[in-house]
This record gives sequence, structure tokens and C-alpha cells, in this order.
Amino acid sequence: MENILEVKDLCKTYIADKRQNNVLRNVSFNVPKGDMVAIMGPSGSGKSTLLYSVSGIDKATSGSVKLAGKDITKMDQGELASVRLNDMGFVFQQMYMLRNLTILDNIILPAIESKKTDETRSQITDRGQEVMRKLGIIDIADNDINEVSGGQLQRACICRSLINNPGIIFADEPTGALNRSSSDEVMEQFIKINNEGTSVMMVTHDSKVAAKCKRVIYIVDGNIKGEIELGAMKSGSEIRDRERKVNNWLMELGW
Amino acid sequence: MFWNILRRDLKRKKTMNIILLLFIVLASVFVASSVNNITSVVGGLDKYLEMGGIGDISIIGLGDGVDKSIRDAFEGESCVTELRMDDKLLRPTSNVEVNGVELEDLQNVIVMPLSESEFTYFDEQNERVTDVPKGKCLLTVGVMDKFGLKAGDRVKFCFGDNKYEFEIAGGLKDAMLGSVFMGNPRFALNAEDFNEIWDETGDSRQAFAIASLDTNDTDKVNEILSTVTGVQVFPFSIIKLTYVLDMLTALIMLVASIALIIVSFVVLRFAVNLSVNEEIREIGIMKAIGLKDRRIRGMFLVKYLALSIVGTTIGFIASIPFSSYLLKSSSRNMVLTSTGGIVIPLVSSFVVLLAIVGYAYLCTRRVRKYAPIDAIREGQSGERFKKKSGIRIGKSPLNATGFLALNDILSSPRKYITVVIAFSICTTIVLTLINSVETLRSDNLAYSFGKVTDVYLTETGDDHTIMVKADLIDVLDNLEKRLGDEGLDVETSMDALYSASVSFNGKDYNERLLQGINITADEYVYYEGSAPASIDEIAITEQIREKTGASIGDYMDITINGETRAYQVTAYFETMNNTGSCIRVHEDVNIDNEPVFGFVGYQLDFKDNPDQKTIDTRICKIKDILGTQHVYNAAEFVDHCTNSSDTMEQVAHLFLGITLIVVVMMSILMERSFIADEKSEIAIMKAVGFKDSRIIAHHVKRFMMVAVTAIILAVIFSIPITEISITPIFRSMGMKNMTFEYNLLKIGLIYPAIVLGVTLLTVSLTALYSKTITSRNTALSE
Repeated sequence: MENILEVKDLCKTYIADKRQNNVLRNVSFNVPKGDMVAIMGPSGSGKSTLLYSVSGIDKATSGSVKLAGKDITKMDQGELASVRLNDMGFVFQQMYMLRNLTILDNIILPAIESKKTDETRSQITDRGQEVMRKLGIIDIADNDINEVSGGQLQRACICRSLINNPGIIFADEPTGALNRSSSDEVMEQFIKINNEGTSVMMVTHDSKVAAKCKRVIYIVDGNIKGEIELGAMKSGSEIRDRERKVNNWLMELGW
Repeated sequence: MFWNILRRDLKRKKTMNIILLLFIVLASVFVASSVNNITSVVGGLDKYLEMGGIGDISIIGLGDGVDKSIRDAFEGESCVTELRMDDKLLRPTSNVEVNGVELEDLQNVIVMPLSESEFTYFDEQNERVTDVPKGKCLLTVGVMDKFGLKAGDRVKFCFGDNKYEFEIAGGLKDAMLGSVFMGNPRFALNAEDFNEIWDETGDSRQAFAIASLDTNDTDKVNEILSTVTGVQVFPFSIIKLTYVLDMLTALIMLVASIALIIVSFVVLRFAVNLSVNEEIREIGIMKAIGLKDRRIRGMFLVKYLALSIVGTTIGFIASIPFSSYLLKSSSRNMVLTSTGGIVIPLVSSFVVLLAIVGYAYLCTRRVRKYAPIDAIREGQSGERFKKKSGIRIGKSPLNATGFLALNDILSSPRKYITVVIAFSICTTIVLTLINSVETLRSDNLAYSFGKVTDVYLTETGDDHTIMVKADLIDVLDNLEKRLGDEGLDVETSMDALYSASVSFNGKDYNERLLQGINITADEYVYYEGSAPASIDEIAITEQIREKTGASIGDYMDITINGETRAYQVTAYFETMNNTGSCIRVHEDVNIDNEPVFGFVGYQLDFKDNPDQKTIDTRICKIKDILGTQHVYNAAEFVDHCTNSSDTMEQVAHLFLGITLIVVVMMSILMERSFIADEKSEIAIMKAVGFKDSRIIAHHVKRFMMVAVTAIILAVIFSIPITEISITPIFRSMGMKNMTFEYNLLKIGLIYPAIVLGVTLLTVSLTALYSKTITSRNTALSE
């Protein structure tokens, strides 16, 4: 299957107080189109750094990252901005949105900035409303960002990441700041998006969240220590078995 | 512990604290120097004139024995407590040459022996000068500036056939004749040099005297002077009025200073507010761990006090040279010195310190409102959060950055009002000055110098021996003939000025009479009443009306040719001749034997009524025919007479410079603080794919919208403000009803474009700093 993301010998080194800290050490992996990958690992293992490096938000020290066939490590800031705008979406743990815009305006802002389509403003607005409707938050379209719950806001962030129809969505602990029911709602949306063909790569601490993904990569001290193939989740009843499987696997790896 | 928190705070929030510190320094510099400037300007002119020896009444006398007539008139009179007189004065008999070039415009020159003068003079450094080295001379500062002369230039005068050459040693501040309006440049020589010329000129020299006296009975002095022929009398107020332009410059600096103080406090308010807003999370956390409001406020106040002490100290030090610069730029012809030494800047800086701490105290009142939840929600808990702007991106015709810019402004208008107020105030002052310059350069004021004609001349080439009306008529006839011979058919006319004794209600005055030559009284403009229709009727100005109490219908006694008769006031008119203090008499009044005291210019009207373009072409021809450059159209003539548009334009450009400095500093500081405040928003915009250039465009557009709003307000306000602020000045110069000239290209486009261009350039460069924020900062802020 064609890969949406190809990571090869990725290294990331920080230098603090003249000391070299190798956060990622020759990490290599691929994400096929339509895959849904969870990155897990203990605190400080480098999983968020990996996510930011492969998504072009942070610059890798060495190695290559091919996103839809284009090596983003060789791109300048302007090209990277275009990739972030048009080819991928990003969902943060904190639900960052622009303070002075309504939820709907926050969602459609990247579409208006993008030159990807020739849509009119009203077509973009309709599309934004359609995405919100799909994620069940259409009733908060005209609300300010402080007037909605964390779960609604995170779903709004997912809507924003989807608005330009990206090939892949990166998510950094998207359920980390949410309660269990909100977390389930958000994961449901990710699965739905993935089922529609968009690849998803997320960092999580939560084995229940990871169990809903098709594949889990475990990372320790900047190296991939192992990965497990779970396959697509066919029904909600599978979740307990998948979670148990993930937990057992993690215990084997020393979680 | 508090000191530790403060130390760490100053370190950690370096950017915001530096911005706040810079604002404090800026405010302190502006306030300290402006207050110092204000105290020096207010009362400064009176002090200067007194130092210069200008008494209650000053006199300029022309003619043989005039000095003796003045002395004799006051002999034994107890009403005069002190009389100072310079009676050893000379007028060169031809134009002055500087470095071998004849200066046609340098007219009415007076040469005097400096050490023998009974008046007091100052040099350019405001130090008293009592003598000048042999072979050198000092020249009135205003004249030096006007002609671009400098120390070391060589100047040559002619007295009859004898030529004398001197080196200019520097500028001279002359209280009596040093103003722009007096128009009598003085060359102060060494007494030995002067006496040599005096002896050589012998009887051929033109006699005249300048005197000033102190009195305890002004009416009595006026009564005595009304009997002395050949004298012009200037009360202290008139001498003061001749400095109206210099004072105008000083007053403009004063207004500018007040504007800068307002701007400073507005900006300071913004900075303190922004800084306190930054602290919301800390306040919440401190409350959450149980600190009381009083303790939290105390901690903030210690921080602002520390910043204020440092900022106002730097501001105080910087204000001393800045204040001196402001003062110097407003007092080239006067001696205006800082009256309070360092006390005023010191007190002003202390007031700024108190204002900041006081304002910070008021701002920190909000500490009481903040709850621990604000630490989590960063002050944006839904209960108190205000609704954002009503505009929606889906319906907006603006692109993404344009929309974001407009939306930001509409969502937090108070944040941007600071910029609007500051930019508006500064730009309004610049535009007001430009409106004044345009008015002075227009022909709107031409009627204030008499009948409006096609061409005006101040020199024809044969006007050196004018004594009485017949001489003027000869000059006009010759002029008409010379131009007629060259194919220019013109009608000539002019307004002549005479001195006469006037009585009303038992009081005597020495006043100026205006009479038209080849013009009838009904050809002039009167704003009330009807033109004098017979020799028994006169029109008076507002100044005469105020001085004497006479009004339409009253009879005034005027002595002309030794005959006193009653003249009825039939109208009021306005003029800028003799700073507005004039009486117009009918053209048939026999004034023929009275000496002509002065005239404004020779006036020409072409018989074929040509358009302005043809007039301007013919003016060039007249210059060639007469061999003089002193030929003007109406607008140029007004500019020549008021002699103030250039000064005003210089002040306008000086204030434009100050405005641009304010604009640059405010733009840098505010944009920098916006970037600091919106760091996470910039990061998130980059994370969703906005390029650096688009972020910069967002910030620049925001300032552009604010600056355009400020400029539009400034353009609108500049019109009434021009009329309100400038009218009283012209009224004091004799103009009652002003018609202003507005150059829409300048006030609507050129100057706004300069302010806007500088703003946008500054913001664009400052906004480059946003490039240091990357999408990764989103992750880091988590």
C-alpha cells in the first residue's frame, strides 16, 4: 500500500547548557495511506518530539520525512507552511483557537487562507458547517471559544484540521485534557475520519485510546522499541479485548 | 520572598518589562521637557522685552532734530520715569552686499554703535553683548537665518560714495527690532568703526531715533507724543505683538508639548494595563495558594515602583537636552531660557512616577475580581467574557488577514483607541500648521492690505526720495508710463500711511491714517457700515474701536496739515497694516503735505482683465523691465507681507518630525507588545499553515486600519481646530474675519501618506520579530 508518511533515520538533538540531548535516534517507520497509528511511550521518551518532527512543526536534526512523497526536511518555512495548510491537519492537546473568532470562523479560517480550491466564501462556510454537523457540534457554530466545553472545543479543533481535506491528521494527546466521555466522543470522530480515508497519527498515554487505533508504536529513549498491529476496529464490543491486548504488549515492553 | 519574586519576574518577563520601561522613559522625557518648555514660554516674552530695555511706550522718530523734539517734549514731565534713546543711527544709502552679492531683499537696514546703545542686546547663546571687535559686526538673528548668513561672511555697506566692509561675528537678539514684523535689520558695529562712518557721512545722513520710556501715566505720554511730529508710537503691547510669529512658534511647541503629555499618559495607561493583564495567571495562582489581595497588589506595586524609578530617572536625564532643543527651536529671535533649572524636569519626572504607581494601583484593583479559576482560564471565564465583534469571516469580502485585522480591532477596540488618540493628536497638529501655511500663502488675506489687484510691487527703482503724497503719485505715474511703453497697459494705485493726532472722548492718541491713491474709499472691503463717502467720514478698525471706544456714528477729532476737525465714523474695516490699528480717510481728504509714514506696496491692475496665468507671465516681464525681483501676485504679496509662512512651515515640519518620532516609537513598542501578548495566537496561526508573510500582513493591516482611522479623524478635526486656534492670532494682527485655505492634496493625501507610510514601515519591520515565533511554540506553551 502506498505510504502517506515515510520516516527514515530521523534524529533530533537538543543542546542545553552545552550538553547534547539526543531525543530521537535514527527513528524509521512508515504510515500507509488510511492507517491510524498511536505513538506511546513513557514521559520524556520523545513521542511528542517525533510527532512535531514528522509533521514539520519542528525541524529534524537529520534524516528524512516524506509526506505524500515530498521530503519536508528539505523545505523552507514557507513551503512547510503550505504543507501544514493544505496537506495535513494538526490537533493539539490544549484546544488552541484564536480568541477573537467564533468557533465556525476558527474552523474555516485555514480554508479561506488556502488557495487549494476556488470555492466562494459561502461555499467554504457551508463546508465548515457540514464538517461541524458531521462531528455533532453544529449548534456551537456561532459561539465564542470560551462558551463551549472542552470536548466540543477539541472536536472543533478536529473540524479545523479537516477543513482543507488533508491526507493525514497529526494529534498530540488529543484526549489528554478531556474527561472520559468527551475522550470517547473525540476518538469516535477520529475513527470516523479514518474510515473515510484520512490517515491519523496520534500521541497518547492512554491505552484505551491507543486500542482504538489500527497500529501502536512504542518508543523509549528516542528509539522505536516495538509495534503492534491491531487492525481496524469493527465494532465497539471489541474495545475491551483490544485494550487488554495493548496493555499486555506494553507490559512486555516494560511500560 | 517578595524581592525574589520581583527579581525573577523582571528576568522572566524581560520583553514585557523592557517595553513598559521604554514607555515610562518616553513619557518621562515628554512630560519633563514639555512642562519645562511651557513654564519657559509663558511669561518668557515679557521677561525678554524687559531685559532688552523695552519700556511702556516705544518711539521711532524720523527727520532732522526728531531726537531733540522727543527729549524736549518730556523735559520736566514727571510722567516719564526713565527714557532710553539711541539717536546715533545710520541707514546705508544702497543695498547691502554680502560676500560680493547684493541682497535686494535686505532693506531698511540700521547701523549702530553697540557699546553706545542704551538698550540691551544678546547673542545667539542668549548671553548679553555689549561690544563687538573692531572690523566686525553683529547682525539680527532673524536676518541671518532668512538670508542664510553665517559668522565669517563679509558684509559691505555704502554711505554716499564711501564703502565700508565688515566681517559678521555672529547673530544679535534685538528686543526692539528683532522680530519678523519689525523688518529693520540691525548691524551692530564697534563704536570706533561707527564713529568713523558717522563723521564721514556728515550732514548727508538720514536722521532718526529709537526710544523707549517707562511711565506712570500712559495717557499723558500719548497726549505729549501726539504733539511731536514725525514719530511712530508703539505701546509695549504692540512691540509684544510683533513677536506674534515667534510666540506662535513657541505656542505651537507649547501645544505640541501638551499633546505629547496627553499621548504619554494614554500610552502609559495602555502599557500598564497590558502588563497587568499579563499577570492574570499569576494572580490566580497566588490567590489559589492563599495570598491575600493586599499582599498581591503590594507585590505588583513594588514591581511598578522599581520600573518607574529606573524609567523616570533615565527620562529625567534625557529630558534636559530634549527640552533645550524644543526651547531653542522656538526662540531664535528671542531669549527664552529655562526658568526652573532642573527643578521642573525633576518634579515632572516625579509626577510621572506617581502617576504610574497610582495608575498601577488602580489597575491592580482588578486583583480583587480574579479568582483561582482565572489562573486556569487566563481571565477568560465565560461569566465575564464579552461578546466578540459581530462580523463573520464567511460573509466578509476581506481576505483572511484583512478580516483578522478588522476583527481584532472590533473585538478589543479599547486596546487600539490608544493608538488612534495618540496618532490623531499628533497628526491634527501637523495638519493645522499646514492649513495655516496654506492660508498665509493664499490670496485670501490680500484684501487686508488694501484693494485686491493683479500685481503688487514693493520697489520700482525710483522710490528712494519719497517724503509726501506727491512723490508717491510721481512714482505711480512713472511706473504706468514705463510699463505702458513696454506694451503693458496698467492702472496704478496704492495705500499710503500717515501719522496723525487723534482725539476722542477727551483722550489723545497718535494713530495711523490710511488713504488710497488712485483708489476711492468705496473700493475697499468693510465688514460693517458704509464706506466713507465724503471728506468728513472715516472708517476705523476693531483695534481703534477697542482702544478709543469710538463706534459707527461717533465723531473723532483728527489733526491733518495742522487743522483739527471732526470726522464721523461710518464703517469698520480690517487690515494687517500697523498690526490692525488704522483709520481710513476719504480719498479727497487733503493730506498732501503730511510726511508719508509708510506704504505697503505699489499696486497694478491690467486694463484687459487677464487670467492668472497671463498675470504671472507679465509679472516676469515687469521684473525684467524694472530690474527688480520685488513684483508679486496677490498670494505672493500676502506671503511677502506676513513673512511668516516659511517659519510656520518650518514649525510644521519640525512637528511632523516629532510626530514621526512618536509614531515610530509607539508603533515599535505597541507592535512589540502585541507580539508578546499574542505569542500563542501567532504560533497557532503558523501551526495551521499561515506563512510568516501572512502573519506580518495581519499585524500591518491592523495598524493600517487604526492609523487610517486616526488620520481620517485628524483631517476632519484639523479644519475646526485650525479655525479655532489660528483665528485669535490673526485677530491680534488685525484680521477679524479669516477665510482659510485648505489644500486637500496636502492635508488629505501627502501628509497623511507620510504618517501612514512611516507607521506601516515601522510596523512591518517590527512585525518581522514574529518570525522568531514558530508553530513549535504552540507545543512549548503546553
